[in-house]
Amino acid sequence: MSGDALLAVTGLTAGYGPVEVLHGLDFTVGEGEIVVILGANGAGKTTTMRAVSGMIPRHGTVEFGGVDISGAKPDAIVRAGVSQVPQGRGTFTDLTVEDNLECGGYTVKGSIAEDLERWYGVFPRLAERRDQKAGSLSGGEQQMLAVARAMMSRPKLLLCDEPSLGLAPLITKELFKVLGNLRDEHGMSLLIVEQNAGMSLALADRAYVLETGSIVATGTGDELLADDTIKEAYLGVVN
Amino acid sequence: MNLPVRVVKGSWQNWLGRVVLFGGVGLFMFRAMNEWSRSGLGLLTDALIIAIAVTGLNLITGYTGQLSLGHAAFFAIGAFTSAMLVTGKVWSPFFTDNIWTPGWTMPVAAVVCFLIGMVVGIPALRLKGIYLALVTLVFTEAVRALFKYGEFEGVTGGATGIKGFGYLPPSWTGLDGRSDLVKWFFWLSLAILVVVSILSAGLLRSRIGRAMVAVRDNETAAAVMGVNLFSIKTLVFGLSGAIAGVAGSLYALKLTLVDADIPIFGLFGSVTLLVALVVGGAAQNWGPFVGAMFYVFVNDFARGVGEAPSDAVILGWFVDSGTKINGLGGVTFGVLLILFARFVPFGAVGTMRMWRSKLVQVVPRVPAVAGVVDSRSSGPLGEEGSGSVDSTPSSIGAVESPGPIDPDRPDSPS
Ligand SMILES: Nc1ncnc2c1ncn2[C@@H]1O[C@H](COP(=O)(O)OP(=O)(O)OP(=O)(O)O)[C@@H](O)[C@H]1O
Ligand SMILES: [Mg+2]
Repeated sequence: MSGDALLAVTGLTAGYGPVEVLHGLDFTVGEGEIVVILGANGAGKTTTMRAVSGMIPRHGTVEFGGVDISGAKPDAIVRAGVSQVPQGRGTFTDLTVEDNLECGGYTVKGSIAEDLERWYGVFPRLAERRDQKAGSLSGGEQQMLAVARAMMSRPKLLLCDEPSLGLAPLITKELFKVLGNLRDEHGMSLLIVEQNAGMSLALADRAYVLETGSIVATGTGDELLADDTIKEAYLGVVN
Repeated sequence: MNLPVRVVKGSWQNWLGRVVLFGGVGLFMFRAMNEWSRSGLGLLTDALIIAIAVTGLNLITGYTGQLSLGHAAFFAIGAFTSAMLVTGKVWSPFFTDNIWTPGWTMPVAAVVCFLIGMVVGIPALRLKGIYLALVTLVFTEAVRALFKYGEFEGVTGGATGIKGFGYLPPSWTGLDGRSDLVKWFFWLSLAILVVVSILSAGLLRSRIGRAMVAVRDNETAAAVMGVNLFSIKTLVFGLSGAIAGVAGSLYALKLTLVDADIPIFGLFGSVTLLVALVVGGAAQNWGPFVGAMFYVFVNDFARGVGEAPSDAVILGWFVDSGTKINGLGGVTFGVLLILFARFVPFGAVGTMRMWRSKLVQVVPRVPAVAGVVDSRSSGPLGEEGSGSVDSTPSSIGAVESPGPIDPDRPDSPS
């Protein structure tokens, strides 16, 4: 698998100062695949995202498109084609919607006018609000903005950190439909870390379960959805 | 006619507003030059010089969100660079004569301050808020101590400073060498302020400008967008320092002397610049100008109160007529600042915009996206719309009306 995977992570350890949070993770994301990492609060989901995107010091190897990016800086990783939707959306509240999108295209050389129109086409509500301050958008709109903004850097792989956080179920459904479309219509690969097991596993091609910094289970989305321990821990279903 | 009146951005009404604003300020400057006394014009020039330095500070503190108490040091370095070059105290390669005319020392001051500013920007990578303020404060005092240091007396003038230089108006200006000196510095300062403001507005509209605000709003998100925090912070610290350095250079040439003990070269100066920025409006394009004017003229007024306070009615009950009270000017100024902070919370420019937006709102042209008709009825996102908690704008940045349409982008020039 890891031979032709788009993202191949082996033995990833990372943490903050003396505290090790991730204890050697192995996972892969294939081309055109949606992979979900399921984990409870504090499991290390955000830390995993930060380690992959180069935001914190890390050990182990991270290969992207066959190239070792373990030592690369965040901006180099974005340029290589890995983009991120940070937890809590990371909206630039004082900038307009359009400026937010243009920030997303920060690493792109040359004109991004076409990219803007393309993503406005996918997210028409953002087009209506292009000159509005992004801080005045609703939570759902801000999450859409964060996805569109991440797509502006023309990535091959999109990292999404708890995209469902703070969204009503209906909005989450809408959002996951959009994420599915990114795979189906735009050929994207996605790595999503989530607590919302029901909706994310339904979307996932494959999934991993992360517990206190270690991967404890893996399988296809449907397999894990059917798993009793998963049902109990993440869906609140008691058998 | 319903208020607020909506004016489309870029329409002739919008331009008319700008012309009236710039024309009004221009007219004020013109009349000041012709009708004001020498001391009045001198004070106005001081305000312009401070406005230049605050324009620099606005880039790093207002737009990039990095609190600096180090800008008096750039001001001092600019001032000493000019003083040392024009008086021939530093070695000029290849030339035995001193080739430095006062005007050419200004770009040198800018380059020197740019390089030093980049270095000072490095701590900003790890330090935030008051910790960064503390480091930059130490920088200010260290620079001041260095200029006073006895071993360097031959170059910096040590404890006595450097005297005996100046900048007479070049002949092409048509100004008379000595009698028009005040006017010359007034025009020079005004011209430099205009140039610096235009450059800074251009920077803010560029990709780098957006990255700066992104770093201020959410550093982590900016980094994952591929914004190199190291480059942005060091670059903007450098540019910001360079602008403050030019202001310092101008200040020294106007004053005709430098001395490390001049208060504006120390912590007092850094605080002055910061106060002017906050009073005028941080991250507002007119903020530095309005803040500097306020600072200089209100300070001057407060000093007047300190001169002969007992002529005032209420104070007269407590002290004999003609008594001077030391420090009363400072106290008056302090009280005025506190009142200002209480009643004008977003700085003068922010508050004026808030008032203006009740009368006139500049709205963007309608986006031309096909197939978008009614925003309130499209899918589940529409239903969430206005009711959600997240839809209220953040309180700090949102100086303007919290309505659905943002009247102005932060960097728009009107
Ligand atoms: N900046 C930090 N400094 C020190 N420790 C941190 C930091 N950020 C996270 N941690 C610790 O790392 C562990 C994992 O945190 P992480 O944010 O990765 O969890 P998470 O799975 O994303 O949780 P959540 O669902 O709440 O977002 C936690 O024990 C947390 O306390
Ligand atoms: Mg998290």
